[in-house]
Amino acid sequence: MLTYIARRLVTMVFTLLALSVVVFVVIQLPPGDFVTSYIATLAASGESVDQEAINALRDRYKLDSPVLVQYASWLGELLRGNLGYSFEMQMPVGNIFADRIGISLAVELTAVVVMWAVSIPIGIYSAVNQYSVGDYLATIFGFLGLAVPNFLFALILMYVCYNWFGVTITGLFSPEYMNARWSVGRFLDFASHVWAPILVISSAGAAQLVRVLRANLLDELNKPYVLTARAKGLPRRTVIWRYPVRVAMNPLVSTIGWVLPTVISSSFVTAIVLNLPTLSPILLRALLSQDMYLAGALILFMGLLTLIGTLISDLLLAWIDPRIRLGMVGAN
Amino acid sequence: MKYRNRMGLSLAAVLALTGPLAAQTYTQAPELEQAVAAGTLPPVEQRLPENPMVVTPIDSVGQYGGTWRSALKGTFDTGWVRRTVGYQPLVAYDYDWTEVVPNVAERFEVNDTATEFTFHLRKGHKWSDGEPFTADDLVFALNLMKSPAYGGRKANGFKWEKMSGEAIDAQTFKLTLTEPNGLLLQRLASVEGMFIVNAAKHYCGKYFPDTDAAAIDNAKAAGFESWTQAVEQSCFFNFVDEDRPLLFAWRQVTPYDGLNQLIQWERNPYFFKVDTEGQQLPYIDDVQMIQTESVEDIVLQAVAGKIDFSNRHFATVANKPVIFENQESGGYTLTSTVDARMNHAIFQLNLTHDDENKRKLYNEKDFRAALSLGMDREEIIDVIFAGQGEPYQAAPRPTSPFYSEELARQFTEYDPDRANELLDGLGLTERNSGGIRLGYDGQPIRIQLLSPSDQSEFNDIAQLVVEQWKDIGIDLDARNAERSLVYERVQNNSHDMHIWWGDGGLNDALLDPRFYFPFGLESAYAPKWAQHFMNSGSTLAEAPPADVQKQMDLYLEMVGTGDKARQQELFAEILDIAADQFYVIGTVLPADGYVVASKNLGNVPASQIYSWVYPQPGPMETAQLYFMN
Repeated sequence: MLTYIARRLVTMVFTLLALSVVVFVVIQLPPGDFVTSYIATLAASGESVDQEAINALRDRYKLDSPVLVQYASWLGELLRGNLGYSFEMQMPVGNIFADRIGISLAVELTAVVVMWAVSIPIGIYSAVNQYSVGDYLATIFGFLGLAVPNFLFALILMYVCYNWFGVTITGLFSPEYMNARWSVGRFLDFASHVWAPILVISSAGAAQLVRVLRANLLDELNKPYVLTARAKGLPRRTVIWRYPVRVAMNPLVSTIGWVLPTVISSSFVTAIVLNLPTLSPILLRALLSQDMYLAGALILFMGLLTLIGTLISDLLLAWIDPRIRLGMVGAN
Repeated sequence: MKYRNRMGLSLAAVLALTGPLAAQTYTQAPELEQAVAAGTLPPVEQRLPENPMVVTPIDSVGQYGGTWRSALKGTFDTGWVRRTVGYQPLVAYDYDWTEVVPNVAERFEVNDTATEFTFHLRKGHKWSDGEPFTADDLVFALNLMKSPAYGGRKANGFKWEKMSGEAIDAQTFKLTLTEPNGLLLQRLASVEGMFIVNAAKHYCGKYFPDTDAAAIDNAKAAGFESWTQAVEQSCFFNFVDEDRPLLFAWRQVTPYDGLNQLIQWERNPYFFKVDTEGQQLPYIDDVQMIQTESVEDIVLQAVAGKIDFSNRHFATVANKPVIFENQESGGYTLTSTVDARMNHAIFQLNLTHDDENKRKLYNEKDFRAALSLGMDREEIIDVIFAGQGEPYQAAPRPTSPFYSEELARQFTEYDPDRANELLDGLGLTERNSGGIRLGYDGQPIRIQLLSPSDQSEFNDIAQLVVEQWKDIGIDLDARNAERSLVYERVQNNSHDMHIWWGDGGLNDALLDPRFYFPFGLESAYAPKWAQHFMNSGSTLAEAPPADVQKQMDLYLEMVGTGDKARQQELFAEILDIAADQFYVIGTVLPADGYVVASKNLGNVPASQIYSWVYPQPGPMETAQLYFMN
């Protein structure tokens, strides 16, 4: 088991390296660089920039050196723990991370927890009570959740809340708490804002999980071993929870790997629409302005989350399913 | 006893008479009153300069209190800060944008040849931290900008190597130029000119190697990469450093660094202006700007009455119905702005194209005239601008002193028959099977236009023009593209056509005549000639034809004269040539814009010019805004 984990960790390092190359190249692919997009931004607000200033900027950010040189120095700094410098925000990328990562993870992990907490009971209920009124309702809402893009749902929610209740649901804090220290008041204010993004972010994922769990469980429920267990006198509830549900959970667990990055990327547009102070709007701004070190670090971070998620899901699978665990030992 | 009494009386009478002139008593906001009483702040007389500037309110004298709320978008939106709290230049534009008036400087003199400018500062004027503001600060700011070693963003439009400043005494600053510049006062009053009173020597001096040997270490210690960056971030146009001393009506409390979402400003107790009753300005206690990510969010805030005074980002034609509709529930009214821009979209063929055949074709004036005649501007106005606006070329607005009927209206009528005649007359009679005319190289005439995707109106207009030009046998290939791609193409001179707003409709035409002759990087119809004019040393630079060169010479002559009447004459000549050249194809003259203003807000201007050079609302003096109840 330990060697298995060690082997996985080593592959992770190489995957990350490969990812860093792709990230860097992709960010450099669009024509122009940070300076061009900076000029374009200024022009959009009516300003203009002298040629002299443009040359000075290029020089300062070393944007004229070859891509390979730029990549090598970026990687070197990364290995030393220096994430680089953001052109746009004029501060170390590390500081930006430090400022935003807490609130980002709080929102996104809560969304994951809510997603699971809602979808597992509903999924089991609608499989066990197939074609009941509850199942149909779950199915309708499930498909709606799947079909409506997150950002649209956010816009609709904004409209409904403003038009019918007079509430604006954007942001995570009221202005008076934005710069305050954490206190009971601030937490309550946060809680009164955070429900909207969590509802939006978890809706699509929850709908998907409900559908997956329902289908898996339906397959299992009709298998002979369930009938046998029931025939031997085990109560229905015990049978369902102890055997078919555990088997049906397998595919769910294996999705943990992409749950984290999916939640982050699906919260991407949502966060911009709802104006959340998370990392997502910063990533969008960085990509638009070709702020390559900031964007690179953020994308690499998402890659790292995916890899960690996959590792966790593989380990969890081994833990809940003896067949996989034994298979692994056999392979060794 | 009797005598003494009389004496006392007459003295009092004399005092009462001369009082408002000699010993004006000033009053201040209650919060400052308390701070003075508590001994944490010097009394108001000591904080104000000896001769504070008296602001005559637009409507009425106001009262203290309240918070002015507005929104910023993203990280680069310092423009709104500079427009609102930041517009306190050395000399300022007056409200009507007709002349330059004293502001931070109490008065100023210019010599006849426009080479020596003397500015007299106010005695006892202080920075927002209470330190004295003197001529040394101006010399310092100028030297910093002039320094070739300073690699940060510089103020636009100044020729640094030709300027030098000296402090004659603590209150007298003299600016000397090696060649005349009749537009210098205009430049100093513009949004870019504020740099000269933005850098406090006692604060920024520690980041400038010329004034402090340890500058590099100081910058590193403050968390910056270089001294250049430290200066750029905490001395001029950025508002990252909330500790920096300012001359503004409000001083900064929280930084605008892209992370912090709430940018707050509080009353500057050392602000140098008073109202006509001697109350120190500003009336409003705090200014609060919320950094948002999307324009939709700003619209929502405006509609919900969470914006007290702003038109930043959201005040578009498309948003007007929803903003208009919610005035009652949101507790605001709309006031108007007169756009200084003279066009919603200007189509600019690249006259310095590298492809010989295209260049020859685009340089035919008849070709451009035909394209203009083949454009149905009424359709554009009806479909995209809800019927508002009028057909217009790239020309000063009708209210401008430079208005020229010919420049503004030539070829604006929709006349496809004449357009076809003109094109036939150029020998472009062959057509391909799709009805597209063949150019000089025998290929169908296909003009590629990339419009920046974040300015969606450009693409809407272009798509209508695509259909209209088909009728005259021209294939316009208009696509949306990411704006940095658009700019990259223009900068490299690899575009067929560019589309952009028509800046320069009012007085800004003098400072930025980009559409009247190839003047700067934004003159996308002739990048090579513009590079020649800018004398930038770029490899793109190419000497223009005689007429264009004549315009450039006229402009330089205009800049070299201090005589306003002569300036106007010369500029009119430049415009005559522009009318004759017909460089670019304009579309629609923008109708009035709008500003959201809270119903409770007093001294709101009913109609103000909207422009960047004249940074609306700044020149109205925002310190006089107040909440009525």
